[in-house]
Amino acid sequence: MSHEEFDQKLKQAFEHEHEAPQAALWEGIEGVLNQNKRRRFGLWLGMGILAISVLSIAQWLSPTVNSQFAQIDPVKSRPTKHIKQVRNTNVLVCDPHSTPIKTVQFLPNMNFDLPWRPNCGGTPNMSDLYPYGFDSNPMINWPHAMENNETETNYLMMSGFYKKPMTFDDAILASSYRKKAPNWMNSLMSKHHLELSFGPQSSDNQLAINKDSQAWVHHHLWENSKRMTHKGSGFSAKLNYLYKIGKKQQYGLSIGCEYGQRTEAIQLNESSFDIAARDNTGKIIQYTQILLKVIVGNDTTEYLASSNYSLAKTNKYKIISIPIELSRELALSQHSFAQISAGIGLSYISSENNTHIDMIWGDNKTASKQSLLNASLNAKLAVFTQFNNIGYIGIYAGYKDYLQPWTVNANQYRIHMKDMQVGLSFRKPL
Amino acid sequence: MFSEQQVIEACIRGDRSAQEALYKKFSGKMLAICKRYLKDIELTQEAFQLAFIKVFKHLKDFSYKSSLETWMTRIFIHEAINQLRANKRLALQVNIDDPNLQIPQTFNAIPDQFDADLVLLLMEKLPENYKIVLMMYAIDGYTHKEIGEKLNMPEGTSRSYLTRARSMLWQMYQQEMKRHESRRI
Repeated sequence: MSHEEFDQKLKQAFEHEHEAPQAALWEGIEGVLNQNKRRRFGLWLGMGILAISVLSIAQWLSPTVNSQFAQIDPVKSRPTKHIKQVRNTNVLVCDPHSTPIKTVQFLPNMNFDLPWRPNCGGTPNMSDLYPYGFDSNPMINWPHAMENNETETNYLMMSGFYKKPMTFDDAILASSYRKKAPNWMNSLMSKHHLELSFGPQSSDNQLAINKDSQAWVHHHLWENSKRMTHKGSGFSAKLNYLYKIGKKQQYGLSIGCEYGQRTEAIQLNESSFDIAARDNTGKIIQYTQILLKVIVGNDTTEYLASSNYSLAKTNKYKIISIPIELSRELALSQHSFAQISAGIGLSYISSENNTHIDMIWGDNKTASKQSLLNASLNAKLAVFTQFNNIGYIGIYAGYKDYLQPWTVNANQYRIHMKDMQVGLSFRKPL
Repeated sequence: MFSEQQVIEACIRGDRSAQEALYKKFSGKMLAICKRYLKDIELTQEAFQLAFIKVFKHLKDFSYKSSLETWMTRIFIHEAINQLRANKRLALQVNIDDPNLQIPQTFNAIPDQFDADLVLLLMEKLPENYKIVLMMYAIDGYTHKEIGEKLNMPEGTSRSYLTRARSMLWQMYQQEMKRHESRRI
């Protein structure tokens, strides 16, 4: 009988193999499946909370309609008298027997006859409002979006200015507001800004070995130190105060506070056929290769003995920083701008139960507590856009390079830390 | 009565009764496979549960290219091997006690059917690597290339292990049968 037939017979013997499982096994599996469901729910819940938080921040940054008017009150800007006069009609009680308003003065020397009673319902006839046609007077540059009542109403309702049907004086107020409200450049010209940024980051942990390769550290590890750059992840959140400088206020100086967490996901799995012989102090005396030959009958199998270095651990670092940055802003369009910034930071890095490989003996060493006061070089590129007239929302990509490497295992080697950050930024002119 | 595909789709949707039905259908076979590879009852149960969770998690990736049983069997074997590896039972083993092992070119007087329980018992006496290679190749239909990739060994080593495993198993089986015969006489 051939080998194939032998295997076939063997396979047949196990064709109907069956082992009755205990009920507890399914209960265990069901428990994990339920847990996964809960975890998914938790994830959605977390995302929901994050979304609500973002909206809350936006809401918090958002001034009310009235305070917006108070800030950029068209009444305070020119033309004032006429608008004020019309606003006062808000308090009038409808009197059907009252004399219709005959004349409303929009701008000096511009009087229109309006056969309409304030606060008595209905809307004024637009042809009455613009008797000379749109754009007929170069002094009033009416936007084309306002060419009909519906568009105007939609605009106002969408912008959340009004929760009631628009009245005549509302329309005038809105028009005046829009004509005289500070544009994007005006609010950008504010000197003081508060900036809140948060987002995930990708961490890079590059290894730099101190000891000379031949005497202390196994040369395989030495030669492959670049492969031992371990990636990680994390997040950062920062609050910055920005002070605009320069003639056109295109430069900015910012200082703030940043909190971040970064990880170092060590997946070290190196093996070498060179076996190091060491003395009592750990110094390598020589390298050898050990070959094992197993001879069974005519069949010989060879094995090369290897030394292995393996470690799977995610180390966590907490970082509190004070970044100081200089920025330059470039307008991209009427409503958006790019910000390039660079600077330095002072960081306090701490870590608990940080595990690394002992490069001399090949085993793992854990440090219960470690900390380091460090400096960093920071760079950031951000793009902002006007956000609902209340501030700016933007995305950013940042790079952080810590100058002082993290020392591991009694100065055996160091970790050069670099972080690539991305995230969302909210900016509020103060 | 639902088709296999309907049960799979329901499982993907997270329908617990469909998942339980799938479990009931395949649990006996899969537990036997895990036990065959691991023997240790705790490891077997752990691998079995982990593998079933993986099955439910990755069922959406099942492409219907093979039968569901074949697809699941591979997951269970993979998990069992992971357990072996985690418990360092797949470390380098050198069997130096078999210098007299005769490797036959053919096998004579093989019974019409092997006694599965006896074979399982004898396979436990094989070195772990021999046993795993023999089971993967002869019983579960893996190729030497796949075995090499799974167990992180050269194809040649897998072939060598298989040859030796077959011979050792056959020798032990013959001895057991002879012992059995002599008892009967």
